[in-house]
Amino acid sequence: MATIATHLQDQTEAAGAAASARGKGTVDLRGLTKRFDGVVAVDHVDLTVPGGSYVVLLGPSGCGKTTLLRMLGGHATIDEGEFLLDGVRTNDVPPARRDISTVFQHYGLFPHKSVRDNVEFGLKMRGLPRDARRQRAEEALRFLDLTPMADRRPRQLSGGQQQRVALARALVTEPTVLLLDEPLGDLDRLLQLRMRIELRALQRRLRITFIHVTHNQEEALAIADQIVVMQDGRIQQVGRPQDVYRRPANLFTSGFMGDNNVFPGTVSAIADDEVWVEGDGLTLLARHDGAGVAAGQTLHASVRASSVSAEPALAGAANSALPERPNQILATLVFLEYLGDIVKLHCRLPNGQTVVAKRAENVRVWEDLVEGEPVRLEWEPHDVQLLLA
Amino acid sequence: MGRVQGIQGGRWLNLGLGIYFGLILLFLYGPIIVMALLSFQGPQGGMTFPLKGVSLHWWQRLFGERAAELGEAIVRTLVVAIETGLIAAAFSLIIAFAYRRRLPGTRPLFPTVLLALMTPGILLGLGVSLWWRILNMQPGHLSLLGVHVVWALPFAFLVMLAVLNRFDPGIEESARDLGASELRTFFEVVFPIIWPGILSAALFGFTLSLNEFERSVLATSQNTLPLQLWAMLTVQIIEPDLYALGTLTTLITFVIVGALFIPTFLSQIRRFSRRRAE
Amino acid sequence: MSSSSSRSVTLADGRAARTASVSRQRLATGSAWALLLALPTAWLLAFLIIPVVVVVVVSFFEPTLSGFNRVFTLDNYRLLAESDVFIRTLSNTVLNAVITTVVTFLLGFWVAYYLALVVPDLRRKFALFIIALAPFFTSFLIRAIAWIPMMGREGLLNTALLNLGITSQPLDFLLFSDFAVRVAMIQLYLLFMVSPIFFSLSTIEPAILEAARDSGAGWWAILTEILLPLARPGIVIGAVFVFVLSMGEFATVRLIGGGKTSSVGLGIQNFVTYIQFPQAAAAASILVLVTVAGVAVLFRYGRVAEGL
Repeated sequence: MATIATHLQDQTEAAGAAASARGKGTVDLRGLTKRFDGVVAVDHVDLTVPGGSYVVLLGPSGCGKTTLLRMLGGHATIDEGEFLLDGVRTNDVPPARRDISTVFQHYGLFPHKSVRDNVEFGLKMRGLPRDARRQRAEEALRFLDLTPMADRRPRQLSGGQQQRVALARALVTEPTVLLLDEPLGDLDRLLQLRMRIELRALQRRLRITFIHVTHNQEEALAIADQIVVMQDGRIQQVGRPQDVYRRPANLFTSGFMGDNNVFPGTVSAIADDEVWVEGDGLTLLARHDGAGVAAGQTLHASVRASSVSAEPALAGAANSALPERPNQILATLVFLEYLGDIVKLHCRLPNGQTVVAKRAENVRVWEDLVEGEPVRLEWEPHDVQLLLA
Repeated sequence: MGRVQGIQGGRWLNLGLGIYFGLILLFLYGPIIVMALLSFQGPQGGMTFPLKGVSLHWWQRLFGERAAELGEAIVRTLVVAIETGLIAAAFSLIIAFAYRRRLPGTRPLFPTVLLALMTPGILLGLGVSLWWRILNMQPGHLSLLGVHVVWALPFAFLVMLAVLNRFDPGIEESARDLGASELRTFFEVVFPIIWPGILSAALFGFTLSLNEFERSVLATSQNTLPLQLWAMLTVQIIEPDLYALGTLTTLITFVIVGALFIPTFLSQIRRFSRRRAE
Repeated sequence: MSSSSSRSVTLADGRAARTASVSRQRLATGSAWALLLALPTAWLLAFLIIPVVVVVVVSFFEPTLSGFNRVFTLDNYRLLAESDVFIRTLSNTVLNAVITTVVTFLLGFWVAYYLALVVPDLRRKFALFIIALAPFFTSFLIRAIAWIPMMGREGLLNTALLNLGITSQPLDFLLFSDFAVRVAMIQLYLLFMVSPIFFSLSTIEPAILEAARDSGAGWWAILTEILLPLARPGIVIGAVFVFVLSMGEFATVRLIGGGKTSSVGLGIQNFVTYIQFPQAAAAASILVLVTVAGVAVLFRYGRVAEGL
């Protein structure tokens, strides 16, 4: 698919022009709700997706992300709320007439039709005459490097190729929004990593809105312009990948993004741009303007694993000074997890909680550490995130 | 999960189809309902409507005089049906098992079993009676049983295939891995899991044999209930007690069908929806 | 040194012994399976293959008053070929079979469609399927008896039509006619058409239908572009099923046709009643031949359409 770049020049301009002529694919959701047998699957969701951006709906199974996607695609009904596409209310518009296409989780390719016929299908349904259909389908096939397999059946293709067929089929009708339901789920890891980049490149070239559903945090961080974290049918956080990762808004998000150490505690003092939190056996100092925080309030403080430094603990006297200093604690190294690029140090605190410190592999400090030996964990105040929810 | 919700065509089409389905059911059940109603015909009544009074007269006749006449046929029908069920279940188990393992010699068996489905009954009946003739034998119990099993086998086989298909081969392999012999694997591991399927296949065979008629006509000189009915019908000795007989046998059939399908389908559904829910 | 070499010998011996016992076990298992498989094979041979062969063979034998002589003759076939009655009966049988097949398809497809695609609940789907299937298990002789009070001159349908003023005289053709026979056959064999189509349609991934909707397909397009092609295997199986069974029909013809119509199956039965075995066998052979030809046509249609 490296050849995509060479085919895309004219395509890009045309697609970009077409997209802006029709509307940029801005999605507005206001109070969108869906219920199944009394269970609220999507709970009054408010969201604005700017046209031409790559948005990832991220969350565990059952959080409502797929249901939300299906509502956008017209494959599930909307119980309450408004769905506006470029300012036009699209709640009741049938999928055929929306400018939105869906790439389904297991692709849903028509097994009895060739790749070419699969791709042509949408155009056939729109009543395009045969020659025009053929030509546009050819373009889409070339776009996604599928020309050599145009006459094969889906079952003769590999997973990655099938996905490209699904993409071609969805894109041939030139939608302004492309919905992708766990598109990389069926692929093996290596292919997943490659296809991530391809999807991202594709979206950049087409300049249409991509809304992509996944439960894979890494995938979301890698591709999204905006991540929408969901749980229990509600949006937990919306933001750029770096924002969601570095500053998770609440307990769920910090846990879900992974590699976050969470400490429950009580606010003991609030100063200018500092908030002191008394935890279980340790004190945390956060850089925080104090907004929404009151003394005596119980909350959670989180510190990213990559912000935690770990050094062999010095014996004896130096340790006695420790309990008074914030953002430090003595722990025991329980498990050294070597992951190639990074090393994760799993340490157990006196109160039994496990704290994870993450280091780059080539920062050799960790080589001095031995499992079972005491370590000193430390971090900076600006790395302490207060979770209020 | 409700994903497959009224897929296409809209509400009116779905409603129309539902009504259509109901009409078809009426079409299929019509004769049965009519027959059940008429079995309660008054003593003076005949074979058609209107009902000249409502009574149990014909039912009493059925259990009285008729029972004596039909007794022998009923017994034989039941015996053959039980034998058919057992043999069909056993055979279908063997073939399905062997087919699954791709044992040598099973490849021609599969189409042969399906051929049994596609052969007109009268042809088989004729063939069996002729063959018996050539061997100077009178077609009797064995020839009857023979064609009944042939009729039931494809159905039992399909049931067995479906049952074995959702049976994880890994279970057998791990049993073997742990040292169990072929026989022990079967009895201690496989059978406890698939016995409802075997029972279904047997019941299937039983039910099919119960009402089997086309093959039996020529394949035997003995009497079965369907054959007796056939004789009575063609000679026009029909009175409403036959309706009672029909209603009774139909009820029994329905009970068996219910017993047959409910456990199998319930567990199939559980499997099915687990897969779909992913 | 000596201990290790003797140990290695023991290991090798053990391995060899185990291999031997495994292969012995495999042999035992193999022969056990051969024995087990021999049973149904022998049964099928005895009660399926040989009977058909016997019929074909006997059709070439010379008929006698009490059976047949093992003398080769083509007379049986010649007589049938020259018999107007037989030709007419054969044509009627084929016609009935074709009509039954076509009508059960036209009617049955929508039943399968409803069950597979409209009923959302898996539980309800199977429950309804079983309810629809149940009559198939009942004796069709029983169902045939009930035809009279429904379709006879004083039957339900006629009375209803008279009372509603739609007809002024009872319709005779509702019973004891070709029409009645065909309706009865449709009722008998409808489920044989519905079941395979139902299973075919059920295996269609819902995502495929959603993708079709997504691409803009309306109801008709989905039916013609997706459903019918994907249901084709089921349709062909159902059609073959119904066709074959209809060709062999004789009981319905006798009971509901009441002598006004005939079929080859009935003819065969009559021949047997009059101890005309070779003629019966010849008629049966012709029946099989025509049936096989019909099935071949159906399969050819199924495969040709696959390429489209």
